[in-house]
Amino acid sequence: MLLCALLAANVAFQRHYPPAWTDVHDLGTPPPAAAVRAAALGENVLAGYLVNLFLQNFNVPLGRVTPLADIDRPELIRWLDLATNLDPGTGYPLLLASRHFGETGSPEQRRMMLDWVYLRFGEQPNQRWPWLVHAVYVARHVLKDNALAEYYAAALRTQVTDPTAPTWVRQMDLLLHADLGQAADARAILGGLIDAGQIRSPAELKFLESRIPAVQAPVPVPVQAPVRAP
Amino acid sequence: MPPVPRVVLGLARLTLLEARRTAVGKAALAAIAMALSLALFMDRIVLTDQERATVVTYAVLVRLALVLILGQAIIANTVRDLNERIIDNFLALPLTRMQYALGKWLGWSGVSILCGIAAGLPLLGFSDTPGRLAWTMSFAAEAVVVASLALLLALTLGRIVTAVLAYGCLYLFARIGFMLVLLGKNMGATEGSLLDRFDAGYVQLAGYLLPRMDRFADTAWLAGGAIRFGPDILQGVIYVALLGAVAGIELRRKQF
Repeated sequence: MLLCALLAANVAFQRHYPPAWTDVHDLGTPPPAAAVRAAALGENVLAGYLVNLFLQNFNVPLGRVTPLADIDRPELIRWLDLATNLDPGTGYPLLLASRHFGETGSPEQRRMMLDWVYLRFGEQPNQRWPWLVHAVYVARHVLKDNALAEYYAAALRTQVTDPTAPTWVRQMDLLLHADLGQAADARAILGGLIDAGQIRSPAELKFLESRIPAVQAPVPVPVQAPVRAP
Repeated sequence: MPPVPRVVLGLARLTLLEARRTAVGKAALAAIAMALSLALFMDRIVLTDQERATVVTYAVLVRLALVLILGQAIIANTVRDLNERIIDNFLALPLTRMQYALGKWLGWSGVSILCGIAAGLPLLGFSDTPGRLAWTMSFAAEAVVVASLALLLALTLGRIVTAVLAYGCLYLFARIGFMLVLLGKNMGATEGSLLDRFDAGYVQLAGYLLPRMDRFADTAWLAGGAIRFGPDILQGVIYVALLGAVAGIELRRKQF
């Protein structure tokens, strides 16, 4: 009886003082990468994932949501740089930048996110092209900035040299000129990425499907790539 | 190489039985289950790279948990042998102190290798990550090195708290020592003060006295990075032999 009462008291205490990042009001400057590496005992990949999870969730402590638009973008970019530098092999920070943070905030804030994706794409174009494809889509349909979308599409055409990359990646400008509409473009890009084997995580597929505007139905798999090789 | 005396092999078998009786295996299985559970939780919360994040989380957690369990088990068992004079029973046999240490080392090395392989089984069974076999073998080698270190510290220090503290500190330093050395290299345009250079010097010296544990079972092997299996085994052989030499000196000096 006493044991049950004490257990109930502990549960009540935990419910009354729920865990929250009470000390985090804004991102602030990220710690140096060397300090994070040392703190993680050299486990850079896991440290990178933890930074990404922090960025993904820090604005939602127990329902008290800080609008993403209020997050300081230069600081956010430093955090994204930290995550990318810790684990250059992952596209997680690029996904967050292009589809999570890149679709919220003022046009200037969104453009900063897309420019960061473009900057990091330039380091490893043959590995990071899927994220610039997302950036083309966001520039075209969310920012409504055709010139920017075409600029990114041109970068895909000139910098992606991997022969195993799908042909449509280098022909993104054809997709832009086809003007299929926002939902159709989103479906075409998602289908093309699935076809190319670039989306292997069910969670990523679900997340990207949720970003297709006004369409909640899942994308059939496989879907025809938007532009086929001649 | 002279054959290992039967009594040493008997002592190794007794050590394996002792590990079984003190539930080291069950603790290792619990650690593996805990690491798997947390890795599957990671799988639920990441937006992308689900398999990669899961495998990496499992590898990091299972390594730390097993290193801690092995160290504690070896130190506690060995110190109990010393405190309860169980060691006298062994030394009454035609057995030198070094052969006693060799028997214990063989037994605990066997336990460590079994733990390392058990940790790798979930990766080998449920993942198609290219580096999983190399990671498993390298982790088994790492487990043997840390088991050797724990045994030497227990025999030398003879107290559980002191030996566990020394074991933890040495392991942590061996994992991040290379980073501290790198951080101490670049002192900027002023080349650092005399104190800075002294700090960098003794960090480097400490690095030379410890193994490069960061080379063993690199998690990056499971995340698509280049696999460099081989130097870690060489490092393991060198360091276990070094610990053996230290044990030889220590056991000649010590009065049990």
